[in-house]
Amino acid sequence: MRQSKRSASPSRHVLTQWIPLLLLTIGLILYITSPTLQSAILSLVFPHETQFTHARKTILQMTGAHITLTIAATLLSSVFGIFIGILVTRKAGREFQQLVLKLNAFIQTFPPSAVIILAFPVLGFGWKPALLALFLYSLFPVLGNTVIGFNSVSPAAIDAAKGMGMTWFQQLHIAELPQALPMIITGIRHSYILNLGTAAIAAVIGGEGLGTIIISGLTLRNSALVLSGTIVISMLAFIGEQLFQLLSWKQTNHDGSTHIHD
Amino acid sequence: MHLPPHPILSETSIFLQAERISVQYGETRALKDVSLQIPTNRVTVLIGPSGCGKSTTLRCINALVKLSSGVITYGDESIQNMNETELRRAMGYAIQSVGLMPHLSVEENVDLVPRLLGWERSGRAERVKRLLNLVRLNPEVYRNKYPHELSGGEAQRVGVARALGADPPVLLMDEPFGAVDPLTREQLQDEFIHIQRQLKKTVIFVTHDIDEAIRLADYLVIMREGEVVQADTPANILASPKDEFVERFLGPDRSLKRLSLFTADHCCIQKVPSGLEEPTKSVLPEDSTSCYWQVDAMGHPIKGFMWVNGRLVSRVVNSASHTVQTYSSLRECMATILSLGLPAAAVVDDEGRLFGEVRFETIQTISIS
Repeated sequence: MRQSKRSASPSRHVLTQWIPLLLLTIGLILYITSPTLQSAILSLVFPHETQFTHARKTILQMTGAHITLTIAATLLSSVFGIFIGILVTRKAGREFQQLVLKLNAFIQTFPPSAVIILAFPVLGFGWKPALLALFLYSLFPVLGNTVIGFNSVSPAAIDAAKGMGMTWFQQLHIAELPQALPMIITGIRHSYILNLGTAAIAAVIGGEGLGTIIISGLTLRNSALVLSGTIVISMLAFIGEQLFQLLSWKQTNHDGSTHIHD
Repeated sequence: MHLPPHPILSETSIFLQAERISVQYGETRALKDVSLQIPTNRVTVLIGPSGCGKSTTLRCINALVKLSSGVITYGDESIQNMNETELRRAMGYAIQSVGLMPHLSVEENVDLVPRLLGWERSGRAERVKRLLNLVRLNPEVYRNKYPHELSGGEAQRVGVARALGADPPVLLMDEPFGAVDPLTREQLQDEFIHIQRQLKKTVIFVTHDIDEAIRLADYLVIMREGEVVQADTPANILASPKDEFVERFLGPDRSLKRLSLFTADHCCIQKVPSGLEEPTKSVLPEDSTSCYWQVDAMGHPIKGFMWVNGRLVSRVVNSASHTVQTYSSLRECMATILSLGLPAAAVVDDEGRLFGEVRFETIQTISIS
């Protein structure tokens, strides 16, 4: 009974999830590749504006830079966040857990613009200080969620895992990681959304993302330019969110086969 | 402390031996110089009030708890010198909270230890099927379920199946039936006895339930405050508790509990007066002290007669509640005697035909012996 229910729902679920995602992605690609389309849409909202594109860069270039910076920072904070999270949930590292979480929260209280400006004298102009700021800023959700995820693994499962003779590593990847994974994925998702927004600020110190068009829109008092950059960022956020949801749906619905790593 | 050899230990070899083991947690001594011998292919039950060190003792055996002093020898080797991982894989482990992996199906959970041991994949599915059948779960129904879809009793069964996964010679069970309702618990105990008769594992079983302990134990170890108070067969302990603590722990009805260790065939009198008719004075004289059982054409007892104080007392026998089987415990015989109102209970065979009787006076003799 349950079997048939389970096998029927994924296909429907996947269909309803993938179709809007696909349509949005096509829409986004059309928008960023065609300046004509950009002008057409923006002139509907702001009929009195005359300039709808950035003077030096195309939306495509800026989107490319924005995505690269966001994904790089998210990957970096995921790798470090999960690694540190695992370390402080092991027996040997447990005493550092509170310290690390507090330090992490402390970094989070710095406004990203402050981090960017403070990093500027050391790392100079361009993508490097931007990446550092994004990484530090987005470490918190991944690290925090990794710790919560591992702390919430049932003690009985750990006791059973030890008692049946799992090695340290087997205990981690067979018993604990799969149970913590949905929480970790949520953390990575937050980190991605956070980075997507913060990457816009990086334009202040020469990051080349969509912040460039937004900032020039603000200085020129041209709302069409601001809207153009914002449209792309929000679509990227929506698409990313959907992708993560599909990923975590697979994890939490016990799709048995995804967990076997012999 | 030197343990004198017990009858149960002299009839079978010693599987595992703990010599003066102690465990210290900070200031508290969880175990104080405990010496213990575990007989091969028998069920050893560790029992005592909470905090007596029974679980700690169990966890020392598979090295989940480190000894502060003393040795545990397994064969000729001290377990301290053995590889922990290999040691644990050779010992089935079932716990009260079960600890199934929530993200793995029933099949994958049962298959965990064979997978860790790197067994050939081909035989494993078949093995899981056999194990699920053994714990009375239909493999077709349960194989692909996840732990959150199981009831408490079903989860405990899967836990036992998982402990048996790699066919270990020894099973460590820490209150494995502790978290289920009394009815399910009794059912699980029955099945455990049934499985143990087939597999004949060396079992070390921890519980705080004295009735469970008496039902399951071949060898009973009573502990208190980190020490072994008494270790013997349940019958011997019930007959002669060592001190007041053991006596209190066994409860005021220990003589009744003792009766549950014996079965009716143990003291059944087979030649009893019986017939198709009601008794005449020639078959059941007035000075006779035995019962007369009237049977029907099939041989089923229908009525019991006896002379009490010069009066012939008769009782209608209702086959369901007024007869006992040859394998019924003397405790059940006692209950039957009381409900029938005659000083004996009719014992019937598998077809329900009169086989003999168990008398009140015999039970009395056994309970005080």
